[in-house]
Amino acid sequence: MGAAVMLATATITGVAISTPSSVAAAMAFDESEDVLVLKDTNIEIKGTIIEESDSKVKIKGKLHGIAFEREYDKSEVISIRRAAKKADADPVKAAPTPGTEPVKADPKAEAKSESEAGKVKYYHLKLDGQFGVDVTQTPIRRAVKDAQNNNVDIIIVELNCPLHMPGAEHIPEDMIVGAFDQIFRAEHITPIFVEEIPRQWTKKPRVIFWVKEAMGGAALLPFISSDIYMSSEARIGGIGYLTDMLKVGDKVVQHKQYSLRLGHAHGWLISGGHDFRLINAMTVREYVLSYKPTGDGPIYFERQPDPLQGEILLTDDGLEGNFDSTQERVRGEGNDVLTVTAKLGKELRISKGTADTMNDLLFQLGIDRTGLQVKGRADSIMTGWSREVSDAKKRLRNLVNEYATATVRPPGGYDERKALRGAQISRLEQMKSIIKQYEEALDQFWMYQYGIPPEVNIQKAIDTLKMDQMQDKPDR
Amino acid sequence: MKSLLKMIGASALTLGIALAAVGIAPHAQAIDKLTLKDGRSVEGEIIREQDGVIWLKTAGGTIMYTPSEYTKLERSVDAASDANPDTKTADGSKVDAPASVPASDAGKTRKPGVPRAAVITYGDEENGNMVGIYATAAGFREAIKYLEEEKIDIAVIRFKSGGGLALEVQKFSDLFHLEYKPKFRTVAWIDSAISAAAMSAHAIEEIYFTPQGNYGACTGFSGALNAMKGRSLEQILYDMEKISARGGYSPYIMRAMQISSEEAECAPLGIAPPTGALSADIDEDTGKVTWYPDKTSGKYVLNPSGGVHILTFNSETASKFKFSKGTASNIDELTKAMGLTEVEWVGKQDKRFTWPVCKAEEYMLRFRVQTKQDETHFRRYYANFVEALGRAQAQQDPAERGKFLGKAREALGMIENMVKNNSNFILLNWGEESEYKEWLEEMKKIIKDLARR
Repeated sequence: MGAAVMLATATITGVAISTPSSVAAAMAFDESEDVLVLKDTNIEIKGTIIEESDSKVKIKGKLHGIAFEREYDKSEVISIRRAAKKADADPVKAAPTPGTEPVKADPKAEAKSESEAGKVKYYHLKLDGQFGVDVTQTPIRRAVKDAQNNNVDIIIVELNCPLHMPGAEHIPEDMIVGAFDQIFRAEHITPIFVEEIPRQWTKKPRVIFWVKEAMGGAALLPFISSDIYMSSEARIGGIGYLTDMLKVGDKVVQHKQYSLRLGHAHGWLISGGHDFRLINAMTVREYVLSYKPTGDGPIYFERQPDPLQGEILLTDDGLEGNFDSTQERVRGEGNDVLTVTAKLGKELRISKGTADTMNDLLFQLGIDRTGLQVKGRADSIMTGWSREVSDAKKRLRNLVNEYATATVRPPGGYDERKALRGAQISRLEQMKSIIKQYEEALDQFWMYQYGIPPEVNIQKAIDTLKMDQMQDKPDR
Repeated sequence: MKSLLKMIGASALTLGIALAAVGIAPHAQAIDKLTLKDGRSVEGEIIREQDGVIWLKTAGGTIMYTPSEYTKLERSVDAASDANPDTKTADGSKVDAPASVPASDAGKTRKPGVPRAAVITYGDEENGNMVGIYATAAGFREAIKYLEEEKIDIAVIRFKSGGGLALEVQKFSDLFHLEYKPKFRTVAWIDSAISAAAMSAHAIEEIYFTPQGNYGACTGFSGALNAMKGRSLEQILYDMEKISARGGYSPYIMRAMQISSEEAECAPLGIAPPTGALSADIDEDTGKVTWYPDKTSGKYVLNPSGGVHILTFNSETASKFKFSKGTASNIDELTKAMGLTEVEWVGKQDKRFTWPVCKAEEYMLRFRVQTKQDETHFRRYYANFVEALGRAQAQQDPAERGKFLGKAREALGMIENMVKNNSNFILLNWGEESEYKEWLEEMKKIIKDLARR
């Protein structure tokens, strides 16, 4: 495995998700009482609503055994959660235990919240291209804002990001080590779904990830949701061989680095309601994971399977005879590290269904008849961003070239020198501005490759040019 | 200038509602009585007392009272004759259900019995999170005055840091243990606490995680992943044992975060056994967790785990093994997890955060913004200073020289301001404070001499 090795800093962060629909479903099942959530503090008042008008709501209940009855102005209330009917309530089944328990909620039922027009408004956000360049936080945030402006019920995030490792374009993807660190790039995107939507939307949309290809850093993105669907040829993976990533230093420090990385990745799966051990299977070659399919979802075992018990091997220890052969790796059939395919995803209850077309997906979501696609600007936002980034890169290269080749015009006097400095400062300012605007899509490898200096160095060059100008004097 | 130092990787009290504030203690046995400033009395059991701050356990929950809120404390008085848990207050009025308490400014009168809580962040994604640079004990000490100004009772420290300088750990531990905890109910809310960040939080007993939270990976290293070894490692292992005791955690937990579970990987470290192996049992009846410094004694093996040999908790493992007291993704969930039925989260609403921004947090944000600017540009400040000085020296004309000396002064001023905002820059770039001061005086003298020439 003579592959590219990328070592990132340990300054990394994660974010959580409470998938709105699943949380809402869980809450609905959990509540045997009506609940008023008050503004500002989000304090919940539980009890039975006894009167309600357009502007007021009266609730009675018991608090610490003490009865109360109180009327609230609806302007004080953020939301009202109605008690679930007993027939619907099955707390054991309804409260999914993150990880081991499959999500029980019926997707068709979840999608039944119709908009005012009697339709379920959905927004199609297609994330297609190079992760961290085309697929990055600024355009996604813009698109989600557009979805919010359209007051949609569902955001369908179609994810199609093949593995791309800057500097390792010619290495077969199964040989790439170190793509795991791309998840830190993804951590700039996840807050949009995990923190910003819950905070900024009055009526939180259901966010569905429809995966075509989620490799490298994109692999962990769908896991922030419990609503994952996959196309029949979809893959989630490409972050394997974490423990082969570091070759320098002491083993104990290498393991520290692996441990903190896994700690971050675990959080994504936990917040999406998935079993965090899957991430070890996807990343650590030595990790052995088996599972047993049951009606309630898979049960995982961190050991070799017992076939007599119906257990199935997911990943072996990848050592010696268990090391995947070239043939297996080429065909994507290895089991040193886990790549989630559509079939496996369904079996492991990671994916709720397989859909190759939007119509398939809408059918599976139960909104093939009631769904109304909002004609948002997602496509133009995403393609526009890719075009902008491409133009920005071209412009940066040109500016660097112009800066490097600029010379004082004849006759080379004070005025010409001054004019050159002015032009150079202008070029540098433009470079700074472009870098600032598109920094998130400009990876260090590309910057280095084209000799684009960091912003601080550009500012230093400007400072020096200004001092040069101070020192220069008109010719006598 | 010296370079970077060792790196360390990059049941809560149930505070009561208004009900509890009015003296309903139907089942209390040992009754203590507080007379509040507004004349009402509150009965319950004092479960904690520090510097005049009283935590009173009542039927409605535990409430904290600061000395400014009560006039009289009577210990072990007779139980109230009317122990009927009805809805009457001491003055006979009907008790309302818990009410919404909007965040208020510091100057406003606090609601009796309602604790005031604030969130302060320990690092952030946008500006920086390195311990010792973006999260400093000095900065958090400075924050105390803002917390006191806003009469904060509960300080929630939201950790989001990938680690940093080892030498800041003890400072933080001392600060949290000796200065924060006596003044505030101090809570750590872990979004990410890796390495030095986890070690800094470890003196805090009350830890909550976000669902995506992580905590651990505390192996000390420098340079190209070279582990801390020998005496210095023994020292920090010992220090962390003491800090574990402060936080009420088994020392084996932190050891598993610091050193490998494998003997072969510990051998080069030159320290005494045991390794960082860790296992645990959970008592099925009581839920009590018993820790073992090996891989075999406990039913659950936490280190090694999942193919790695250093422990990092996630929210599930932290909760399962009772390291965390709960998991909360937002301020409302945290309020619930902390057992607060009524609380005033102090600060201004800010769309960037799920919590209000209090004055201490405003200070923290300003501090990090400035630190980021300075950390990014320090070399430029310094280069500009040297360059301007050089150009000034080359000028024969005093007026021309003066222009460049002005530039040199400007650059030096930026360095001075950088240090004023964050004194740890001294440590990172000059070593000792005396060295910095000496350097600064020397540079100023050079400028002065050149100006006189």
